[in-house]
Amino acid sequence: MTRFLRTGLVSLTVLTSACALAGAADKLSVADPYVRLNPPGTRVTAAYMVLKNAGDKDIKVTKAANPTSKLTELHNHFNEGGVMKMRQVPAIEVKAKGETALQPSGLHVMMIDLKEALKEGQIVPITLTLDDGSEKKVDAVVKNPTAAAPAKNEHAGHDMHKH
Amino acid sequence: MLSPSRRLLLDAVLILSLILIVVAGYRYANSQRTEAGDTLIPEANCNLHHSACAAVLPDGRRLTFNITPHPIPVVQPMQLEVRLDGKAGAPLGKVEVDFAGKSMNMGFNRVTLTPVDGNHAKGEGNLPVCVTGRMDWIATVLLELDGKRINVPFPFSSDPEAPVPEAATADDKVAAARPPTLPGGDFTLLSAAGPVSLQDYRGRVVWLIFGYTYCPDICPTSLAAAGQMLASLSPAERKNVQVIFVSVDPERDTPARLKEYTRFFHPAIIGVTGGAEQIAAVAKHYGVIHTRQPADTHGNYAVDHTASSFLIGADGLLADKVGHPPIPAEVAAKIRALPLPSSPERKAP
Repeated sequence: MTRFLRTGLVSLTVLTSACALAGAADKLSVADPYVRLNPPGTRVTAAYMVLKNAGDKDIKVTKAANPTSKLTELHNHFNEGGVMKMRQVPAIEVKAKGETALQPSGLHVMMIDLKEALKEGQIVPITLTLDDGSEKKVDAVVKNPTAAAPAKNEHAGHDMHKH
Repeated sequence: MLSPSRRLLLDAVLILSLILIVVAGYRYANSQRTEAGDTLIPEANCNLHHSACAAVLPDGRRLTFNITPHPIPVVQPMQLEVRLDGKAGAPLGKVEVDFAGKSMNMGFNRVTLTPVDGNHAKGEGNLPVCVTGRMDWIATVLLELDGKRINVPFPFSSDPEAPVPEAATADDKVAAARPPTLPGGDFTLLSAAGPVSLQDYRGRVVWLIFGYTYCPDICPTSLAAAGQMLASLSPAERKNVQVIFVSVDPERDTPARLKEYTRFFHPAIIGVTGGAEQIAAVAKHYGVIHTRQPADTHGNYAVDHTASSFLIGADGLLADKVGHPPIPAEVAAKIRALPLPSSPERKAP
C-alpha cells in the first residue's frame, strides 16, 4: 500500500515537472497514435494520430523524431488533378481549440529508412517538437493495415495466370 | 394550457412540416438517382472557335455553351460557360465539361463548373497541347437536370479555320454513356507467376490499381482497402473478382518484389510490371499520370501518380472509376452492381 502510494507520488512529481517544462505541449493532446506496419521489403512507413489543441493559441508541430527510422519528416499530400503528390511540409498546425488529423492520404509523420522491420503491436516512441520548443512524447502502436482481412487465405489467383 | 384553437394550429403546422419533409426527401432521393445519361446532338454548323453553340434540351429549353476567348486557346486558360434560356424549368444541377480527343486519348480533362444561378454555370479550364498538329476534340457538357444526366458532345477542331468535325456519331453516344476519355483496354504484363493479361479475366470484375512498392502512403492505403474489400466478399463472390496492382516504377519493382508486397495486403492480389514503355502505354490508356520525382541523397525517389483506380467489367470494358482513398464497402457495392455473365441483369428481359 505504502509502496503503491510512493510510486504514485513519484510519478506525480515526475509528471508535474514534465508539465512545467512542457509549454504548448501541455495544451496538446494526442488521440489514436499508430504506425502503419510496413509491407515486407519496404523501409518506409508513416505514423498517424489526431492532435487536439485545448489552448487559446495555435500550435505548430515543427519536427518529429523516432528511434526506428533514420529520418523522420512531416509530410502532406496534395491532390493535383487526381495525382496525389506527397511533399514535406515545414510544420503541421493545430488551431486554438481545434484539432488536426494525421491520416492516410493526408498529413502524416513519415518514417524513412527504417533500421529494421517493424512488428505488429510494437510501440514506437515519437517525439513531436512544437514551435515554442516544447516537446510532446507519443507512444504509437504498430498496426497492420490489413487487420480487417483474414490472416490466412487459400491460394486464390493461382488459376488465373497464363502459363 | 393551450387553447383548443391554438392546439389545432400547432397540429396543422406539425402535419404540414411532416408532409414537407416527405416531399423533400422524395425529391432528394430522386435527385440522387443517377441514370445512364441521354446524349443530345447539338445544333449543326456551329464552330466553338467563333461563337457559342447550342442544343435543345428534352424539356424544350435551349442550352448554350461558350468557350472564350475566341478562338479557343491551347494551354492558356479558357473560360467555360453553360447557360439555359430563361424559360421556366428545373435548375441546373452539377455541370461538368469533359474534353476528349476524338481519336486520341488525351487523358482525363474534366472541369466542374461553378453555378452562378439556376440557369448559368461557369468555370475555367485549359486544353493540353497536342504535338501531332491538328486534331479533333469533343467538349462534352455533362449536366444534371431534374435528377437526370444529360450529355451534350460539342465537336471542334484544334484549328479554328478547319471545318467543324462531324457531330457525335452513334458510336460517340455509346462512348458518352461510359465515362468519356478513359477507354481503358487490354494489356499483358508480368507477374511473379508469369504473364498476366487483362483479357484472361473476361467474365470477372477486375479492380485495377496503379502504384509502386516504394510508395510510402497512397499505395498501402489503396491496397489495404483492396485487401479488406476482398476479405469482405463471400468465397463465391471472390471467384468473380481480381485485384491487379500495376507498377508505375518498373525500374525498381520486380515481379518477385511485387508479389511479396501485394500478398502482405491480400494473397489474391496480383502485382504486375513490365518495360518502361509497356507501363507507360497501359497508364496512358487508363489516363494515369506517373512522374518520377528527383532522388534524395540516399537515392530514394517517389513516383507521383494518379491515385484513382479502375473497375473493369466482365466484358473487359472500363466500368467505373474509384476515387482515393477507396472505401472497401463502397467498392464491394460497386462490384456487386456490375453485371456478370451468369447474373440475371444480363439475361434478355
